[in-house]
Amino acid sequence: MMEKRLKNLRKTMDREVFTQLKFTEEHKNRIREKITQETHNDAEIMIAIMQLLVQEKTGYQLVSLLQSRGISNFEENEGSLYIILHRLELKGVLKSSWQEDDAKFYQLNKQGRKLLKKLEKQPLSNHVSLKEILEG
Amino acid sequence: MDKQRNSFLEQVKSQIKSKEARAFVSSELHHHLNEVKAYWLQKGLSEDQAEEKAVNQMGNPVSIGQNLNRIHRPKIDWVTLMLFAAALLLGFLPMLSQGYMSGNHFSTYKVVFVIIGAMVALGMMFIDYRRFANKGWLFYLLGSLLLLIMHYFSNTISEGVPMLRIGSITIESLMAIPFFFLAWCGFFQSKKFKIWQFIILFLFSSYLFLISASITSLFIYVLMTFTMIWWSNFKRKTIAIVLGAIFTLAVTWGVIVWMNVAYYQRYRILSFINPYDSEYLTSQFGLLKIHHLFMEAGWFGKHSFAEQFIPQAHTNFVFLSFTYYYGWLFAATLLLVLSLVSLRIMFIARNMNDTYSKLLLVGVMMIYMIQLVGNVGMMAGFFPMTNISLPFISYGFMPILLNAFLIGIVLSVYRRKNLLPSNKLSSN
Repeated sequence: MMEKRLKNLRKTMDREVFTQLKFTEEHKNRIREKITQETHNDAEIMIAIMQLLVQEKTGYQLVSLLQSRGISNFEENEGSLYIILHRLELKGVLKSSWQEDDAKFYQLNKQGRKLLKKLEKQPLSNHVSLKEILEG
Repeated sequence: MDKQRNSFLEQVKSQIKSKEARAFVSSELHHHLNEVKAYWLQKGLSEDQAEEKAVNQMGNPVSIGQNLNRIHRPKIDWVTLMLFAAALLLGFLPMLSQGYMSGNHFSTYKVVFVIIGAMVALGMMFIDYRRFANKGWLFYLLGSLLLLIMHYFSNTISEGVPMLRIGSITIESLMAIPFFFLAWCGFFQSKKFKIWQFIILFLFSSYLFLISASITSLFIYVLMTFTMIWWSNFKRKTIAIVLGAIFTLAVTWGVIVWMNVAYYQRYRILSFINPYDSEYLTSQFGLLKIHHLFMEAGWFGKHSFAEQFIPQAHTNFVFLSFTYYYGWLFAATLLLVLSLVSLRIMFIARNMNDTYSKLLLVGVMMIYMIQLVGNVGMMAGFFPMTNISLPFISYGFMPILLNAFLIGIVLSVYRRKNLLPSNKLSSN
Protein backbone atom coordinates (compact mmCIF):
# COMPACT_ATOMS: atom_id res chain seq x y z
CA MET A 1 0.00 0.00 0.00
CA MET A 2 2.63 2.46 1.19
CA GLU A 3 5.09 1.29 -1.42
CA LYS A 4 2.61 1.83 -4.18
CA ARG A 5 2.01 5.36 -3.09
CA LEU A 6 5.71 6.12 -3.01
CA LYS A 7 6.16 4.65 -6.46
CA ASN A 8 3.37 6.89 -7.71
CA LEU A 9 5.00 9.87 -6.17
CA ARG A 10 8.27 9.05 -7.85
CA LYS A 11 6.60 8.72 -11.17
CA THR A 12 4.85 12.07 -10.84
CA MET A 13 8.05 13.69 -9.68
CA ASP A 14 9.90 12.36 -12.72
CA ARG A 15 7.17 13.54 -14.98
CA GLU A 16 6.43 16.96 -13.46
CA VAL A 17 9.39 18.29 -11.50
CA PHE A 18 12.61 16.77 -12.75
CA THR A 19 11.89 17.42 -16.41
CA GLN A 20 11.88 21.13 -15.60
CA LEU A 21 15.15 20.94 -13.76
CA LYS A 22 18.08 21.77 -15.97
CA PHE A 23 21.70 21.18 -15.23
CA THR A 24 23.12 24.20 -17.01
CA GLU A 25 26.65 25.07 -17.95
CA GLU A 26 26.65 27.64 -15.15
CA HIS A 27 25.88 24.98 -12.56
CA LYS A 28 28.64 22.80 -13.90
CA ASN A 29 31.09 25.67 -13.68
CA ARG A 30 30.11 26.46 -10.16
CA ILE A 31 30.66 22.90 -9.03
CA ARG A 32 33.99 22.77 -10.79
CA GLU A 33 34.99 26.02 -9.12
CA LYS A 34 34.09 24.67 -5.71
CA ILE A 35 36.10 21.52 -6.35
CA THR A 36 39.23 23.29 -7.55
CA GLN A 37 38.86 26.08 -5.04
CA GLU A 38 41.55 26.01 -2.45
CA THR A 39 39.99 25.90 0.94
CA HIS A 40 41.40 28.41 3.32
CA ASN A 41 40.96 27.97 7.00
CA ASP A 42 40.05 30.77 9.36
CA ALA A 43 43.58 31.41 10.48
CA GLU A 44 44.88 31.74 6.93
CA ILE A 45 42.19 34.26 6.00
CA MET A 46 42.80 36.20 9.15
CA ILE A 47 46.54 36.34 8.61
CA ALA A 48 46.07 37.41 5.00
CA ILE A 49 43.71 40.23 6.01
CA MET A 50 46.03 41.42 8.71
CA GLN A 51 49.12 41.23 6.56
CA LEU A 52 47.43 43.33 3.92
CA LEU A 53 46.38 45.86 6.53
CA VAL A 54 49.91 46.67 7.63
CA GLN A 55 49.45 49.48 5.14
CA GLU A 56 46.17 51.34 5.25
CA LYS A 57 43.47 50.19 2.83
CA THR A 58 39.79 50.50 2.17
CA GLY A 59 37.51 47.47 2.25
CA TYR A 60 37.34 47.51 -1.54
CA GLN A 61 41.12 47.46 -1.99
CA LEU A 62 41.33 44.65 0.54
CA VAL A 63 38.76 42.48 -1.28
CA SER A 64 40.60 42.73 -4.59
CA LEU A 65 43.95 41.96 -2.98
CA LEU A 66 42.53 38.97 -1.12
CA GLN A 67 41.14 37.65 -4.38
CA SER A 68 44.48 37.99 -6.06
CA ARG A 69 45.92 35.97 -3.21
CA GLY A 70 43.48 33.23 -4.14
CA ILE A 71 41.15 33.71 -1.23
CA SER A 72 37.69 33.55 -2.71
CA ASN A 73 35.65 33.46 0.50
CA PHE A 74 34.46 36.98 -0.19
CA GLU A 75 33.45 36.38 -3.79
CA GLU A 76 29.80 37.29 -4.24
CA ASN A 77 29.92 38.06 -0.54
CA GLU A 78 32.02 41.18 -0.33
CA GLY A 79 29.80 42.79 2.28
CA SER A 80 30.82 40.19 4.83
CA LEU A 81 34.37 41.51 4.77
CA TYR A 82 33.08 44.66 6.45
CA ILE A 83 31.67 42.56 9.27
CA ILE A 84 35.16 41.22 9.90
CA LEU A 85 36.74 44.67 9.59
CA HIS A 86 34.27 46.18 12.03
CA ARG A 87 34.82 43.34 14.48
CA LEU A 88 38.58 43.79 14.27
CA GLU A 89 38.16 47.51 14.83
CA LEU A 90 35.99 46.79 17.85
CA LYS A 91 38.64 44.43 19.22
CA GLY A 92 41.03 47.34 19.09
CA VAL A 93 43.52 45.89 16.60
CA LEU A 94 42.58 48.21 13.74
CA LYS A 95 42.47 51.95 13.53
CA SER A 96 40.38 53.62 10.91
CA SER A 97 40.07 56.99 9.30
CA TRP A 98 37.58 58.58 6.94
CA GLN A 99 39.03 60.28 3.92
CA GLU A 100 37.57 61.94 0.85
CA ASP A 101 34.52 60.46 -0.90
CA ASP A 102 33.41 58.67 2.28
CA ALA A 103 36.27 56.20 1.93
CA LYS A 104 37.04 54.51 5.23
CA PHE A 105 40.64 53.33 5.53
CA TYR A 106 41.74 50.59 7.88
CA GLN A 107 45.19 49.89 9.24
CA LEU A 108 46.67 47.68 11.94
CA ASN A 109 47.59 49.52 15.11
CA LYS A 110 50.33 48.52 17.53
CA GLN A 111 48.17 45.86 19.16
CA GLY A 112 47.19 44.53 15.76
CA ARG A 113 50.79 44.16 14.63
CA LYS A 114 51.53 42.26 17.83
CA LEU A 115 48.62 39.90 17.21
CA LEU A 116 49.73 39.38 13.61
CA LYS A 117 53.22 38.39 14.73
CA LYS A 118 51.73 35.90 17.16
CA LEU A 119 49.48 34.42 14.47
CA GLU A 120 52.30 34.18 11.94
CA LYS A 121 54.35 32.18 14.42
CA GLN A 122 51.65 29.66 15.25
CA PRO A 123 48.75 29.97 12.83
CA LEU A 124 47.20 26.69 13.91
CA SER A 125 46.90 27.50 17.56
CA ASN A 126 43.20 27.96 17.80
CA HIS A 127 42.78 31.49 18.96
CA VAL A 128 39.37 31.83 20.49
CA SER A 129 39.22 35.49 19.56
CA LEU A 130 39.85 34.56 15.94
CA LYS A 131 36.79 32.37 15.77
CA GLU A 132 34.80 35.11 17.37
CA ILE A 133 35.89 37.62 14.79
CA LEU A 134 35.22 35.41 11.79
CA GLU A 135 31.99 33.83 12.93
CA GLY A 136 30.52 36.30 15.36
CA MET B 1 19.24 53.03 -12.13
CA ASP B 2 19.95 53.38 -8.41
CA LYS B 3 16.99 51.23 -7.55
CA GLN B 4 18.94 48.05 -6.92
CA ARG B 5 21.58 49.78 -4.87
CA ASN B 6 19.02 51.62 -2.79
CA SER B 7 17.02 48.50 -2.09
CA PHE B 8 20.23 46.71 -1.09
CA LEU B 9 21.29 49.50 1.25
CA GLU B 10 17.78 49.83 2.67
CA GLN B 11 17.74 46.13 3.48
CA VAL B 12 21.11 46.37 5.24
CA LYS B 13 20.02 49.47 7.12
CA SER B 14 16.66 48.01 8.16
CA GLN B 15 18.56 45.44 10.24
CA ILE B 16 20.64 48.03 12.11
CA LYS B 17 19.02 49.62 15.13
CA SER B 18 21.47 52.41 15.84
CA LYS B 19 20.83 55.52 13.77
CA GLU B 20 24.49 56.56 13.81
CA ALA B 21 25.70 53.13 12.74
CA ARG B 22 23.18 53.08 9.90
CA ALA B 23 24.59 56.31 8.54
CA PHE B 24 28.24 55.31 8.45
CA VAL B 25 27.67 51.71 7.37
CA SER B 26 25.62 53.05 4.49
CA SER B 27 28.30 55.53 3.40
CA GLU B 28 31.02 52.89 3.63
CA LEU B 29 29.05 50.41 1.50
CA HIS B 30 28.17 53.20 -0.93
CA HIS B 31 31.84 53.84 -1.44
CA HIS B 32 32.52 50.14 -2.01
CA LEU B 33 29.71 49.89 -4.58
CA ASN B 34 31.07 52.92 -6.40
CA GLU B 35 34.52 51.39 -6.63
CA VAL B 36 33.25 48.02 -7.89
CA LYS B 37 31.02 49.77 -10.39
CA ALA B 38 33.90 51.87 -11.66
CA TYR B 39 35.91 48.68 -12.10
CA TRP B 40 33.23 47.05 -14.26
CA LEU B 41 32.64 50.23 -16.26
CA GLN B 42 36.32 50.24 -17.05
CA LYS B 43 35.99 46.62 -18.19
CA GLY B 44 33.46 47.81 -20.72
CA LEU B 45 30.15 46.99 -19.05
CA SER B 46 27.21 49.32 -19.41
CA GLU B 47 26.13 51.54 -16.53
CA ASP B 48 23.23 49.25 -15.58
CA GLN B 49 25.21 46.06 -15.85
CA ALA B 50 28.04 47.45 -13.78
CA GLU B 51 25.63 48.60 -11.10
CA GLU B 52 23.94 45.20 -11.01
CA LYS B 53 27.25 43.39 -10.79
CA ALA B 54 28.40 45.62 -7.96
CA VAL B 55 25.26 45.00 -5.92
CA ASN B 56 25.27 41.25 -6.57
CA GLN B 57 28.87 40.93 -5.48
CA MET B 58 27.95 42.29 -2.09
CA GLY B 59 26.07 39.23 -0.91
CA ASN B 60 23.04 38.90 1.30
CA PRO B 61 22.00 42.30 2.67
CA VAL B 62 19.95 40.89 5.53
CA SER B 63 22.75 38.78 6.97
CA ILE B 64 25.25 41.62 6.53
CA GLY B 65 22.87 43.97 8.29
CA GLN B 66 22.17 41.54 11.12
CA ASN B 67 25.85 40.97 11.79
CA LEU B 68 26.68 44.67 11.69
CA ASN B 69 23.79 45.38 14.03
CA ARG B 70 25.23 42.95 16.55
CA ILE B 71 28.50 44.87 16.41
CA HIS B 72 27.08 48.36 16.59
CA ARG B 73 24.39 48.00 19.20
CA PRO B 74 24.70 50.84 21.70
CA LYS B 75 26.46 49.42 24.71
CA ILE B 76 25.95 49.96 28.40
CA ASP B 77 29.07 49.88 30.51
CA TRP B 78 27.83 47.64 33.28
CA VAL B 79 31.15 47.74 35.11
CA THR B 80 31.10 51.51 35.60
CA LEU B 81 27.39 51.42 36.33
CA MET B 82 27.79 48.76 39.02
CA LEU B 83 30.72 50.57 40.63
CA PHE B 84 28.71 53.80 40.60
CA ALA B 85 25.75 52.08 42.24
CA ALA B 86 28.00 50.35 44.76
CA ALA B 87 29.65 53.65 45.72
CA LEU B 88 26.29 55.39 46.12
CA LEU B 89 24.98 52.54 48.27
CA LEU B 90 28.08 52.57 50.44
CA GLY B 91 27.39 56.26 51.00
CA PHE B 92 24.00 55.32 52.42
CA LEU B 93 25.38 52.89 54.94
CA PRO B 94 25.83 55.31 57.83
CA MET B 95 22.19 56.29 57.69
CA LEU B 96 21.12 52.79 58.55
CA SER B 97 22.88 52.56 61.84
CA GLN B 98 24.12 55.99 62.69
CA GLY B 99 21.84 57.36 65.32
CA TYR B 100 22.40 61.01 64.96
CA MET B 101 22.13 61.17 61.22
CA SER B 102 18.64 59.77 60.97
CA GLY B 103 15.75 61.64 62.40
CA ASN B 104 16.59 64.94 60.80
CA HIS B 105 16.36 66.33 57.31
CA PHE B 106 19.85 65.06 56.48
CA SER B 107 18.75 61.59 55.41
CA THR B 108 15.86 62.82 53.30
CA TYR B 109 18.15 65.20 51.46
CA LYS B 110 20.73 62.48 50.96
CA VAL B 111 18.14 60.20 49.37
CA VAL B 112 16.96 62.99 47.08
CA PHE B 113 20.53 63.91 46.10
CA VAL B 114 21.44 60.34 45.27
CA ILE B 115 18.30 59.82 43.19
CA ILE B 116 18.95 63.04 41.27
CA GLY B 117 22.58 62.01 40.83
CA ALA B 118 21.62 58.61 39.43
CA MET B 119 19.16 60.28 37.07
CA VAL B 120 21.78 62.74 35.86
CA ALA B 121 24.28 59.96 35.14
CA LEU B 122 21.73 57.81 33.29
CA GLY B 123 20.36 60.83 31.44
CA MET B 124 23.84 61.81 30.30
CA MET B 125 24.33 58.30 28.93
CA PHE B 126 21.62 58.85 26.34
CA ILE B 127 22.92 62.25 25.27
CA ASP B 128 25.24 62.05 22.31
CA TYR B 129 28.35 63.71 23.74
CA ARG B 130 29.74 64.35 20.27
CA ARG B 131 27.23 67.15 19.90
CA PHE B 132 29.28 69.07 22.47
CA ALA B 133 32.47 68.85 20.42
CA ASN B 134 32.10 72.12 18.57
CA LYS B 135 30.47 74.06 21.38
CA GLY B 136 33.66 74.89 23.27
CA TRP B 137 32.96 78.61 23.24
CA LEU B 138 29.44 78.19 24.57
CA PHE B 139 30.66 76.15 27.54
CA TYR B 140 33.48 78.60 28.17
CA LEU B 141 30.99 81.48 28.26
CA LEU B 142 28.60 79.60 30.55
CA GLY B 143 31.41 78.69 32.92
CA SER B 144 32.67 82.27 33.06
CA LEU B 145 29.16 83.57 33.57
CA LEU B 146 28.64 81.18 36.47
CA LEU B 147 31.85 82.33 38.13
CA LEU B 148 30.95 85.99 37.63
CA ILE B 149 27.52 85.39 39.18
CA MET B 150 29.24 83.65 42.09
CA HIS B 151 31.53 86.64 42.44
CA TYR B 152 28.88 89.34 42.42
CA PHE B 153 25.86 87.62 43.90
CA SER B 154 27.17 85.10 46.39
CA ASN B 155 25.16 85.46 49.59
CA THR B 156 26.91 83.00 51.85
CA ILE B 157 30.50 82.45 52.68
CA SER B 158 31.46 79.27 54.39
CA GLU B 159 35.10 78.73 55.25
CA GLY B 160 36.17 81.34 52.76
CA VAL B 161 34.22 79.72 49.93
CA PRO B 162 31.63 82.00 48.38
CA MET B 163 28.33 80.27 47.76
CA LEU B 164 24.99 81.13 46.31
CA ARG B 165 22.21 79.80 48.45
CA ILE B 166 18.79 79.44 46.88
CA GLY B 167 16.39 77.69 49.20
CA SER B 168 18.02 74.50 50.34
CA ILE B 169 20.32 74.28 47.33
CA THR B 170 23.77 75.76 47.54
CA ILE B 171 25.57 76.58 44.33
CA GLU B 172 29.31 76.82 44.64
CA SER B 173 32.15 77.45 42.27
CA LEU B 174 32.72 73.73 41.83
CA MET B 175 29.80 73.83 39.40
CA ALA B 176 31.89 75.82 36.94
CA ILE B 177 34.34 72.92 36.55
CA PRO B 178 32.15 70.78 34.23
CA PHE B 179 31.56 73.76 31.93
CA PHE B 180 35.24 74.54 31.58
CA PHE B 181 35.95 70.84 31.24
CA LEU B 182 33.62 70.60 28.23
CA ALA B 183 35.05 73.85 26.89
CA TRP B 184 38.64 72.57 26.92
CA CYS B 185 37.61 69.24 25.41
CA GLY B 186 36.02 71.16 22.56
CA PHE B 187 38.98 73.52 22.09
CA PHE B 188 41.68 70.87 22.31
CA GLN B 189 40.06 68.50 19.81
CA SER B 190 39.93 71.29 17.23
CA LYS B 191 42.87 71.53 14.88
CA LYS B 192 42.24 75.24 14.41
CA PHE B 193 42.72 76.10 18.06
CA LYS B 194 45.87 78.16 18.55
CA ILE B 195 48.22 78.20 21.50
CA TRP B 196 47.81 81.97 22.06
CA GLN B 197 44.07 81.41 22.33
CA PHE B 198 44.77 78.84 24.99
CA ILE B 199 47.00 81.22 26.96
CA ILE B 200 44.45 84.06 26.95
CA LEU B 201 41.47 81.84 27.72
CA PHE B 202 43.31 79.96 30.42
CA LEU B 203 44.65 83.05 32.19
CA PHE B 204 41.28 84.77 32.09
CA SER B 205 39.39 81.76 33.46
CA SER B 206 42.02 81.14 36.14
CA TYR B 207 41.63 84.74 37.22
CA LEU B 208 37.87 84.25 37.49
CA PHE B 209 38.42 81.14 39.58
CA LEU B 210 40.86 83.01 41.76
CA ILE B 211 38.55 85.89 42.57
CA SER B 212 35.31 83.99 42.92
CA ALA B 213 36.06 80.40 43.78
CA SER B 214 37.64 78.30 46.42
CA ILE B 215 41.30 77.36 46.26
CA THR B 216 40.17 73.76 45.79
CA SER B 217 38.18 74.57 42.66
CA LEU B 218 41.10 76.51 41.23
CA PHE B 219 43.42 73.63 42.04
CA ILE B 220 41.15 71.08 40.34
CA TYR B 221 40.71 73.41 37.37
CA VAL B 222 44.41 74.03 36.79
CA LEU B 223 45.41 70.40 37.22
CA MET B 224 42.62 69.24 34.93
CA THR B 225 43.52 71.69 32.17
CA PHE B 226 47.25 71.03 32.43
CA THR B 227 46.67 67.30 32.09
CA MET B 228 44.18 67.51 29.25
CA ILE B 229 46.39 69.74 27.11
CA TRP B 230 48.82 66.84 26.59
CA TRP B 231 46.11 65.05 24.62
CA SER B 232 45.46 68.10 22.43
CA ASN B 233 46.78 68.69 18.93
CA PHE B 234 49.55 71.01 20.11
CA LYS B 235 53.17 69.96 19.84
CA ARG B 236 54.57 68.57 23.07
CA LYS B 237 57.42 71.07 23.07
CA THR B 238 55.04 74.02 22.72
CA ILE B 239 52.94 72.70 25.56
CA ALA B 240 55.98 72.29 27.81
CA ILE B 241 57.16 75.86 27.14
CA VAL B 242 53.73 77.42 27.67
CA LEU B 243 52.99 75.47 30.84
CA GLY B 244 56.45 76.35 32.15
CA ALA B 245 55.82 80.04 31.52
CA ILE B 246 52.40 79.90 33.19
CA PHE B 247 53.91 78.10 36.15
CA THR B 248 56.56 80.79 36.60
CA LEU B 249 53.86 83.43 36.42
CA ALA B 250 51.83 81.55 39.01
CA VAL B 251 54.73 81.37 41.44
CA THR B 252 55.18 85.14 41.18
CA TRP B 253 51.50 85.56 41.68
CA GLY B 254 51.58 83.19 44.61
CA VAL B 255 53.86 85.52 46.52
CA ILE B 256 51.33 88.31 46.10
CA VAL B 257 48.43 86.07 47.05
CA TRP B 258 50.30 84.92 50.14
CA MET B 259 50.17 88.46 51.42
CA ASN B 260 46.42 88.71 50.92
CA VAL B 261 45.19 85.27 51.81
CA ALA B 262 42.91 84.84 54.83
CA TYR B 263 44.67 84.04 58.07
CA TYR B 264 43.19 80.58 58.54
CA GLN B 265 44.12 79.60 54.96
CA ARG B 266 47.71 80.63 55.44
CA TYR B 267 47.54 78.82 58.72
CA ARG B 268 46.40 75.62 57.09
CA ILE B 269 49.12 75.69 54.52
CA LEU B 270 51.67 76.31 57.22
CA SER B 271 50.28 73.52 59.31
CA PHE B 272 50.46 71.27 56.28
CA ILE B 273 54.14 71.96 55.96
CA ASN B 274 54.56 71.35 59.64
CA PRO B 275 51.61 69.17 60.67
CA TYR B 276 52.71 68.44 64.18
CA ASP B 277 52.96 72.09 65.07
CA SER B 278 51.89 72.26 68.70
CA GLU B 279 49.80 75.38 68.32
CA TYR B 280 47.78 73.77 65.57
CA LEU B 281 47.28 70.59 67.51
CA THR B 282 45.82 72.22 70.54
CA SER B 283 43.56 74.59 68.67
CA GLN B 284 42.30 72.53 65.77
CA PHE B 285 41.25 69.16 64.59
CA GLY B 286 44.67 68.19 63.35
CA LEU B 287 46.55 65.41 61.74
CA LEU B 288 47.68 63.83 64.98
CA LYS B 289 44.09 63.55 66.15
CA ILE B 290 43.03 62.12 62.79
CA HIS B 291 45.69 59.45 62.87
CA HIS B 292 44.83 58.65 66.44
CA LEU B 293 41.16 58.14 65.57
CA PHE B 294 42.10 56.14 62.52
CA MET B 295 44.30 53.74 64.46
CA GLU B 296 41.70 53.36 67.16
CA ALA B 297 39.07 52.13 64.72
CA GLY B 298 40.51 48.62 64.33
CA TRP B 299 39.39 46.10 61.75
CA PHE B 300 35.70 46.27 62.49
CA GLY B 301 35.24 49.77 63.85
CA LYS B 302 33.82 51.28 66.99
CA HIS B 303 30.19 51.38 65.89
CA SER B 304 29.68 54.55 67.79
CA PHE B 305 30.47 58.21 67.58
CA ALA B 306 29.64 59.17 71.09
CA GLU B 307 33.10 59.30 72.59
CA GLN B 308 34.79 61.17 69.78
CA PHE B 309 33.78 64.25 67.93
CA ILE B 310 34.74 64.51 64.29
CA PRO B 311 34.02 67.84 62.59
CA GLN B 312 32.53 67.78 59.08
CA ALA B 313 31.88 64.09 59.56
CA HIS B 314 29.66 63.87 56.49
CA THR B 315 31.67 66.00 54.13
CA ASN B 316 35.42 66.49 54.28
CA PHE B 317 36.10 63.93 56.99
CA VAL B 318 33.57 61.36 55.85
CA PHE B 319 36.33 58.84 55.21
CA LEU B 320 37.59 59.20 58.76
CA SER B 321 34.16 59.01 60.33
CA PHE B 322 33.27 55.96 58.24
CA THR B 323 36.49 54.24 59.16
CA TYR B 324 36.03 55.06 62.82
CA TYR B 325 32.54 53.66 62.74
CA TYR B 326 32.94 50.62 60.48
CA GLY B 327 36.63 49.81 60.73
CA TRP B 328 39.58 49.27 58.42
CA LEU B 329 37.97 46.46 56.46
CA PHE B 330 35.16 48.72 55.40
CA ALA B 331 37.60 51.53 54.61
CA ALA B 332 39.59 49.19 52.38
CA THR B 333 36.44 48.09 50.53
CA LEU B 334 35.40 51.68 50.05
CA LEU B 335 38.80 52.68 48.70
CA LEU B 336 38.84 49.64 46.43
CA VAL B 337 35.46 50.49 44.88
CA LEU B 338 36.41 54.14 44.42
CA SER B 339 39.79 53.30 42.89
CA LEU B 340 38.25 50.72 40.57
CA VAL B 341 36.11 53.51 39.09
CA SER B 342 39.23 55.38 38.00
CA LEU B 343 40.91 52.19 36.76
CA ARG B 344 37.84 51.45 34.68
CA ILE B 345 37.90 54.93 33.14
CA MET B 346 41.59 54.52 32.30
CA PHE B 347 40.87 51.17 30.70
CA ILE B 348 38.11 52.60 28.52
CA ALA B 349 40.24 55.61 27.57
CA ARG B 350 43.07 53.36 26.40
CA ASN B 351 40.86 51.74 23.78
CA MET B 352 39.58 55.01 22.38
CA ASN B 353 41.14 56.19 19.18
CA ASP B 354 39.73 59.63 18.65
CA THR B 355 40.94 62.84 20.28
CA TYR B 356 37.64 64.07 21.63
CA SER B 357 36.66 60.89 23.52
CA LYS B 358 40.18 60.59 24.88
CA LEU B 359 40.12 64.21 26.09
CA LEU B 360 36.77 63.68 27.77
CA LEU B 361 37.92 60.57 29.59
CA VAL B 362 41.26 62.07 30.60
CA GLY B 363 39.47 65.13 32.01
CA VAL B 364 36.92 63.00 33.87
CA MET B 365 39.72 60.86 35.24
CA MET B 366 41.61 63.91 36.53
CA ILE B 367 38.64 65.62 38.18
CA TYR B 368 37.71 62.35 39.85
CA MET B 369 41.24 61.43 40.92
CA ILE B 370 42.01 64.84 42.42
CA GLN B 371 38.97 64.53 44.64
CA LEU B 372 39.75 60.97 45.67
CA VAL B 373 43.48 61.42 46.23
CA GLY B 374 42.94 64.87 47.76
CA ASN B 375 40.33 63.75 50.24
CA VAL B 376 42.17 60.64 51.37
CA GLY B 377 45.45 62.55 51.20
CA MET B 378 44.05 65.13 53.62
CA MET B 379 43.75 62.39 56.18
CA ALA B 380 46.99 60.70 55.32
CA GLY B 381 48.75 64.01 55.63
CA PHE B 382 50.11 64.59 52.15
CA PHE B 383 47.41 67.02 51.11
CA PRO B 384 46.54 70.31 52.82
CA MET B 385 43.29 70.54 54.76
CA THR B 386 40.82 72.10 52.37
CA ASN B 387 37.30 71.60 51.22
CA ILE B 388 37.52 68.54 49.07
CA SER B 389 34.88 65.87 49.12
CA LEU B 390 35.12 62.14 48.74
CA PRO B 391 33.39 61.28 45.44
CA PHE B 392 29.89 59.79 45.81
CA ILE B 393 30.28 59.45 49.59
CA SER B 394 30.48 62.98 50.96
CA TYR B 395 27.21 64.65 51.76
CA GLY B 396 26.32 67.56 49.52
CA PHE B 397 24.35 68.25 46.40
CA MET B 398 27.08 69.85 44.30
CA PRO B 399 29.71 67.11 44.73
CA ILE B 400 27.17 64.37 43.96
CA LEU B 401 25.94 66.27 40.92
CA LEU B 402 29.49 66.83 39.69
CA ASN B 403 30.48 63.18 40.03
CA ALA B 404 27.22 61.93 38.55
CA PHE B 405 27.97 64.15 35.56
CA LEU B 406 31.43 62.62 35.27
CA ILE B 407 30.04 59.08 35.36
CA GLY B 408 27.41 60.11 32.82
CA ILE B 409 30.16 61.24 30.44
CA VAL B 410 31.93 57.89 30.80
CA LEU B 411 28.70 55.99 30.12
CA SER B 412 27.93 58.18 27.12
CA VAL B 413 31.38 57.70 25.61
CA TYR B 414 31.28 53.95 26.20
CA ARG B 415 27.81 53.65 24.72
CA ARG B 416 29.00 55.12 21.44
CA LYS B 417 32.52 53.79 21.37
CA ASN B 418 31.85 51.59 18.37
CA LEU B 419 29.92 54.24 16.55
CA LEU B 420 32.55 56.84 16.23
CA PRO B 421 33.51 57.56 12.68
CA SER B 422 36.91 58.97 13.57
CA ASN B 423 38.05 62.16 11.87
CA LYS B 424 34.44 62.94 11.16
CA LEU B 425 34.01 65.20 14.15
CA SER B 426 33.28 68.75 13.29
CA SER B 427 35.89 71.17 14.46
CA ASN B 428 35.53 74.63 15.86
